[in-house]
Amino acid sequence: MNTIKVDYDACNGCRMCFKVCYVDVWRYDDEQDRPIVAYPEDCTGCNMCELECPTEAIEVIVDYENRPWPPVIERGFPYVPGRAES
Amino acid sequence: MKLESVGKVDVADILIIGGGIAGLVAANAAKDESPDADIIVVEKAHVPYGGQANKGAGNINYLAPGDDHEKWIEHHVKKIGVYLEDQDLLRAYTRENVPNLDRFDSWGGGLCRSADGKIISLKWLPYLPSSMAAADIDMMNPLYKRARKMGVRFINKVAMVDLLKDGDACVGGIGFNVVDGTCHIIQAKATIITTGGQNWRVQPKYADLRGDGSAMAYRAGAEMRNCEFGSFHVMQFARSMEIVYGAEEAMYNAKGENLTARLEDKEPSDVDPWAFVLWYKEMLAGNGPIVSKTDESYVFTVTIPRHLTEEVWKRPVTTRYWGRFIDKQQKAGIPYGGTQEIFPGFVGEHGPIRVDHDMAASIPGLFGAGAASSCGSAWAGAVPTPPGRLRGGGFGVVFFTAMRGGPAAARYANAAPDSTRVDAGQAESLKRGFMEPLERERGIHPLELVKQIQAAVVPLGYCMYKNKERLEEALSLVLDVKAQIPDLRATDFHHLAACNEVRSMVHDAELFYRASLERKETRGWHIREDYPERDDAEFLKWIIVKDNKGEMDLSTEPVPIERYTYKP
Repeated sequence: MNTIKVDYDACNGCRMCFKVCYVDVWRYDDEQDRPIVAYPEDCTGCNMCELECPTEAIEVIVDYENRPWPPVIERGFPYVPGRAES
Repeated sequence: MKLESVGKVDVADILIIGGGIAGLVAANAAKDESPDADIIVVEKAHVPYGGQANKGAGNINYLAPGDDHEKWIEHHVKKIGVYLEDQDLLRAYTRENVPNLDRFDSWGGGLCRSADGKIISLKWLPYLPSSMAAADIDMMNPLYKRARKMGVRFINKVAMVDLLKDGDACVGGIGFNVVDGTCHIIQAKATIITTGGQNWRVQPKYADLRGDGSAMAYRAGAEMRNCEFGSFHVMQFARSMEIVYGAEEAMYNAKGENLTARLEDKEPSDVDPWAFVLWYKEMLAGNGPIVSKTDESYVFTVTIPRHLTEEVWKRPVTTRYWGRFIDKQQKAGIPYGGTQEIFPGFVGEHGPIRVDHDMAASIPGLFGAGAASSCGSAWAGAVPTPPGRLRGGGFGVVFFTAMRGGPAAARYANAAPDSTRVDAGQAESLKRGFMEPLERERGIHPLELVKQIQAAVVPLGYCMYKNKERLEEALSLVLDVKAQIPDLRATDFHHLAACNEVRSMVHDAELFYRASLERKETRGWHIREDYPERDDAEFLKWIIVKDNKGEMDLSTEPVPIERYTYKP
């Protein structure tokens, strides 16, 4: 699963991360006035929140070894990309 | 019962469901047609960041000066759509291509132009009869600003679930806010579905495309067409899982044999479906892994560097977006290029809502534009919703369909009576239905069913290299998932949206497999192991699917080939 790190000292509360996420990973905590990574399991690693953050407070760490998609379950042979036997 | 007791009610002339590029183009075009029209765009994410357009390469199919339009139409009919196109619509696409690009640019779209104002174009492959223009991938921003300035209203973070009906006519939609759960009812004289194609949440960049538009249109009684073509693939690097354009130009098996040399079509129109069949057969035969020697690929070594660097087109947002992907992979020790294992990456692009030349669906008051209805419009024939095999075709189809559909919906709304009404009982019943997963104390998590439906759709032996036995097996898996939908449980509104989306995914998968079983031939992207030949005598027909009391009713309609220029 991808990890999204937020540097709350650098965050200015602009909510861009919440806005740019097209798969609804973020929520905004109005009481604490800061964004929350609410659904990291849905993060696709598009980096949009990281790229659009005006204070560079976000880092998306992509988990290349355990990406949840695609679940390549080929009929007739098991296949995991990058781990095929030669 | 009052409608206001069911949810927050908004009234508009036109409701646009989906605020990606198609929704924004439709809104702008509708406003140009009818400046006084009251338009609401409802978006599940947040305009202008949802959808596909800002996560691609910004390439736009373009019939440049010097491109022979007739040659391009002929190429399309023979190589891409294989006589299943609505050739009248294909001609209209061709005719309107350049005016559409100019119009998009006049809205602030930002086409890359030379100092003397000419569109800078490139060829994806040297022999293709059409070209590519480009814009930076933040092009939705100016479209959004223009629409807002013209008075278009936007409602973000609301997932529309169902259409509302008054008799046979569509009179709006109902859904809920994915953050706070507020039920939203939009009453409208005309509704345009611009929710994109179906990706079954497989391809990360397009994982927001979950088929809600197709499913809600079908449930409202709309016809579906060309459902059997929605299994687009592109090759991907196995380690990074990033799309690798041109990989199929230089495929080798573990014995070192050149697989590309075995492909029949030496000048394919971009991605060749048979490359994926070949990968599948070689893997089954134990000849894997399959690698691509990308240094031998024209697209990888020539086309892509031109497209994604600033060598030709100055596009800082595009360069930064793609640069971040590549930088991160390289820092993680994953190479980009060279000789690497590849596998077929599932994209989908299932967009079956049937629409006519005005992009009107088969029920009054409903329209479709963009990828959601691109297969269903039949303009591109026997291929998944463009882009499909037409690189840059995503924008081409959006401009074409939304610049037709937006104004047509505006004209429909202008002519519609003011007596349009939404029945509160109907709205309440629909709301109760889609809120049900929240009521259950026990049940299945939607992501569990997402995995199951992906396992029924992704295998190449099911969706790409088809035969009766495997299609029936896949359909049986889909129906197993369908049977579990009544047990879905959501603990919040994010997961409630996922529950509805997985229902849409199951719906599209069932459409895909039932139509695939019906087409007993091989044509274009539809490849049957048990029917390896094209059968023009029996299958120069469109397969239409419609709801019939809860069952999928399949029928066929002949393509009016006798009046088209190109015949088999």
